[in-house]
Amino acid sequence: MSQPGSRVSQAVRNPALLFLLRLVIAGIFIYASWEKILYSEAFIEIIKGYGLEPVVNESVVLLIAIWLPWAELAGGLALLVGIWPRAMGLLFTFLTVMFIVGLAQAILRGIDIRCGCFTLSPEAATRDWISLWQEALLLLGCLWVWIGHWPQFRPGVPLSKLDSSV
Amino acid sequence: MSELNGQQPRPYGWRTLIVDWWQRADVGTDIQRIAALVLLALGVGLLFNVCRIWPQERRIAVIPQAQPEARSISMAEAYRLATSGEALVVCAEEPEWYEEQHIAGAVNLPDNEDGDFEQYWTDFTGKVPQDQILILYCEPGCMSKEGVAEQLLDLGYRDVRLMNEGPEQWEAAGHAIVHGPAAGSMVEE
Repeated sequence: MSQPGSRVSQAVRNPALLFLLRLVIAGIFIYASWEKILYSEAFIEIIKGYGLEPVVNESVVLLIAIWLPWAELAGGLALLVGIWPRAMGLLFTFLTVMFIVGLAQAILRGIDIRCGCFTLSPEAATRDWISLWQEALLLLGCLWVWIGHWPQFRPGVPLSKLDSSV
Repeated sequence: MSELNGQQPRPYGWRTLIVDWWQRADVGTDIQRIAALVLLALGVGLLFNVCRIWPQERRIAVIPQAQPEARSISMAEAYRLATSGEALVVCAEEPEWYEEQHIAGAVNLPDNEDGDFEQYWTDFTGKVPQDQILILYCEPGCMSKEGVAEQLLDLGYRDVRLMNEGPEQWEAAGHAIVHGPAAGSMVEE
């Protein structure tokens, strides 16, 4: 007997919606990685603009500048072709939370900050609380991709009795 | 909780719920996969950075270069370096103060952040090579030499030294000073 599941659960797991969302999230992160790979020095300045020097060593900033764009690109490509979509959903959820935390602490401290998420242009608008809706929306999408790929389970019910699709 | 296929669900607490969710949602496997992708991205990123042939100037120096700092120098050592021609003495005060009195042979380079002294800096950087030893001084107890030293280091000058004594102490030690705008000789009169 298959598990009925709630309407919300069914909507979250809707294969067509999940596929579409995967494409959108993958596209966003692949696009976001491109300028960061090409213009590393501008990306380093953007990271420094977050005002994390007191707690983050300069070598760590440089390693982030080297690692992050490739993680976005590799994760985006994996999500696009459907490799480990659940894990990629979790990775992008984590990255988006980190962006939001980074932006929020800078806004809170009154630092004029540019996200550097999708463009490294110095003419990009500085961020404020209201503009964080973009990251919030992205976070929602990433969470959806992650949760939508969870195996179906109910508390206390043996795994063998449930659908387990990854 | 209702019975499912004849099996009675076990009692549930928050801790059990979280552990159960962790296992059933297979979060451990996701973390392993993310770790694999992170390592892959780091490896590709480092390789790309090292092999970057276009544009090469955008290659990131992962180990930052140590920033040179201005060092202190005693008046006796400053005098030795200045008279031997190894170092250039720089007065970091404003032009009026410099013209009143300055160490013989010293050039004037006022702190550009205190006023509009762009021309002084253009002339200085145009004539003085970056490997020149520079000895900075100002009025005893002042901070303008520190500001000028910082700007010089930012411009690429590698050996900047700070002397605490001013022209009066220099003269009291028997060394030459000059009154007026022209830079005099470093050779003691």
